Amino acid sequence: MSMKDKIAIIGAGCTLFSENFGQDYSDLMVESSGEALEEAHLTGKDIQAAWLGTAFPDAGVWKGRSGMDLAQSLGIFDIPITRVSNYCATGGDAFRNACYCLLAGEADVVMALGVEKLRDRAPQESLVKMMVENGHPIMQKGFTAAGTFAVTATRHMHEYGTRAEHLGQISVKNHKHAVHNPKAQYRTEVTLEQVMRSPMVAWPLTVLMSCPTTDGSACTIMCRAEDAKKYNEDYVLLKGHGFSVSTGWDLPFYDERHSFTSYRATEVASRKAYKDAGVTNPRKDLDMCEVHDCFASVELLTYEDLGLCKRGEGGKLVDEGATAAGGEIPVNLSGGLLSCGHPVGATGLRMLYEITRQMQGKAGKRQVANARLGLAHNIGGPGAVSSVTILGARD
Amino acid sequence: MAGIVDIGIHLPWKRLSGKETGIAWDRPGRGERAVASYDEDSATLAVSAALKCLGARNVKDVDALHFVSVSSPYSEKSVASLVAAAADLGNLIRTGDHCGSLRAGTSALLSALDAVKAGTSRHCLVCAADCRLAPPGSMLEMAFGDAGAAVLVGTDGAVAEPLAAVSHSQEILDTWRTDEQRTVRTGDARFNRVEAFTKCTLDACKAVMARAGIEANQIAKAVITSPDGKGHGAVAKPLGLDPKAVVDPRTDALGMLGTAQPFVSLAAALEDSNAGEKILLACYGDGCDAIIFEVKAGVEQFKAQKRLASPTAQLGYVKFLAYKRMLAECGGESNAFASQIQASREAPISLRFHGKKCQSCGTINTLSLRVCPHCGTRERFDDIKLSKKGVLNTYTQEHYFPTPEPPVTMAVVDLEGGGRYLSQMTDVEAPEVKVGMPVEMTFRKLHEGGGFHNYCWKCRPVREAPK
Repeated sequence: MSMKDKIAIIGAGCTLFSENFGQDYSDLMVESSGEALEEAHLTGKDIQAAWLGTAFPDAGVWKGRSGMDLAQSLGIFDIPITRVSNYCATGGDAFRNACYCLLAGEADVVMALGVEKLRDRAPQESLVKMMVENGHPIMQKGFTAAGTFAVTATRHMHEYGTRAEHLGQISVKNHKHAVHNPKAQYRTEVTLEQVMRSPMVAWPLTVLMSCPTTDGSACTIMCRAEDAKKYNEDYVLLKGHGFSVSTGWDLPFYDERHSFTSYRATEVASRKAYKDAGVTNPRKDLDMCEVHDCFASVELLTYEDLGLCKRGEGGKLVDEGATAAGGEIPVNLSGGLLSCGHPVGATGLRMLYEITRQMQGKAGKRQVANARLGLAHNIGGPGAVSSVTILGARD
Repeated sequence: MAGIVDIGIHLPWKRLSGKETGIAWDRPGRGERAVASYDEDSATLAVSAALKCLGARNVKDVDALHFVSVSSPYSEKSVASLVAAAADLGNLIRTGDHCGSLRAGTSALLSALDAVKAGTSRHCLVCAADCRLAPPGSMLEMAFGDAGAAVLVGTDGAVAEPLAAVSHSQEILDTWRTDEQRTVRTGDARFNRVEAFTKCTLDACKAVMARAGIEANQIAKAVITSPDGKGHGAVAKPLGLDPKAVVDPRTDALGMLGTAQPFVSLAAALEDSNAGEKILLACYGDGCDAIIFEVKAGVEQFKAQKRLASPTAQLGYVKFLAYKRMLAECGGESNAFASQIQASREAPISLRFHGKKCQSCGTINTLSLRVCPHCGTRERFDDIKLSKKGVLNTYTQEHYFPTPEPPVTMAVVDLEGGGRYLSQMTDVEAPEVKVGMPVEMTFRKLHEGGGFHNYCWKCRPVREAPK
């Protein structure tokens, strides 16, 4: 069943993605939901079901283990609220489940809210510590999150002649885009030399090819498309969605059939979303993409997995400048995770916020003229889980 | 007749030079010593030696395994059982831990020879390994070396058979380490040399020569081990041995190798021997074991391998201290979660290195799965031994994972004959890592999570031994 034109986003909100030392977990939620509720001309009491995306309560502040943390923070009680956790695709998954609820007719107005408070701890104490100290005592021990994605860069370089400078160029591009995004953590341009010479995290990924550790929250409020105008004339339509878990947390590193040059989850999820939306040539049909550049190598592989270029030609696409602002298919006009940071559960919804503003023509200096169709992509775990959502402007 | 069938030697990759140590302590220095890597201990050295010794042999008839060490990673817990598991010798095996004395190796060897002679064991494997700690800056620091040696005792194809053996026990305090002490203590050097080592060793050697009915001039090689790797000459002379017959313990190149020393020296002696020759093996430690061996025909095959030739790389003194955990505040250790219960459940893969081959689609799975990820077949796997050789598929080098030897190379290895395994790469310099390079698996310690030693298989580059 296609999801095309059945769901409308009637409100979206997003905090500043940064080191929000002055805000706690709840403050972030209040801010993002406030912007979304205001846009939809609703109050919290109008929300009939909600999904809370927080991926790593134990890496942050022990908040977000259950839907009750949204209820208490927003003062929304007596409705079903589910906490969603699906690694870095958490935000996309919260959105998906909220849409399913609308399609099932169980509620008329629903909220998907993602939030992660990571910077009450030093970066070394949050996400890095997670893989160093927690998890399986032996399997994957030695990896940090960067390493799990670096091995794909290594293999891609080996098979296709991709160079570390291609990854550097992606970082340069995204940092340049972020200059125009007031919600981004870093809004300063960087040079290729700065990227390449910044400290090595996990070869070939340097610090500037890696997303920072960040606090943030983003929120969308949805209803069925036929009801949208009741709440907000300037709504945006869901055109397609795909979601796939295509391998496991450990499995890719112990599975001879895993290629390390592609994330199958992205291929599967995007083909479903394309089918929904009637996209046949993504490079032409889409006006922009927000893709999951937690590390620069992931953006490069995702070009190929989304079908923006042929297999092995991600580096060529970078060289052509096709994915830069003003290019054929701009990618990460927000600055991406590399500039916005990656409060894990919030990222997917931050991307939907970005595409929503693009579809509304309200993306300021980042705006793509006459934008009609935009894509948001997450990948989670070691590329195991992917969410692809296509939003479109209303007619 | 029971005899020594083979000997496997594992020498670690790193060497610390006396010159390097001398620079650190502002004094002259000479020679080198072998240094176990930060992820090696006596258990892993013993496993590496055991696997070299067993080689391609059918291991089904090893009925006993003895672990020997004065630096066992556990004061209470058998390490022999760990070595037996990592060497994949099965559970129906007698295991024993021989600790406490530098003589424990030869004591275990004599027990093994007795057991095989008595017919209660078909093969016995004696695995001796040590990584003894010395106080930083002390003379012992360069005197000690780290190594593992494994001696396979059996009946067929012997390299050497005992003609006679004598054990001399002497209660004397010359070298010791209490439960509370990390580093080895030695008393008065002259007393230790003259009153302890020389007296006991002379007594035992004279007795064993008399028992075998052999004169000093009939002894082609004499392996005499002392606590400091010196003093063997002082014993050889009064015994009437030809000075050229005394085997150089290579202390200046490797250090005194603890309980592994007599077997490392014996292997060197055997590689230079001919059938029919007599070898005296004397090992001091709270007394002395002395054995006269006759070299047998199996020595010809034994000589084809050069066991002490191994690739080496130099280690700096500060890293040496870090490896030995002498730098309390330097970090490099992860406080990893570990569960004794989980470790037990996953021993088939993490210790024995077994995989599961799907009976339906033939996929070799290296995770402890119950359902084949490729064909969905449930619970129908054949337990298989995974190859310990492979090729590097991809890798990264982690600069933020705590380790005494950054960066950590994380390696995805495609094993010969099937199966993929993710592991840390060890004994490696970062720039030499390349996709497609051949690697071999090696048993190492990963971390101390849970308050116990967490062991696993790592990979390392395949290196040629120097000619």
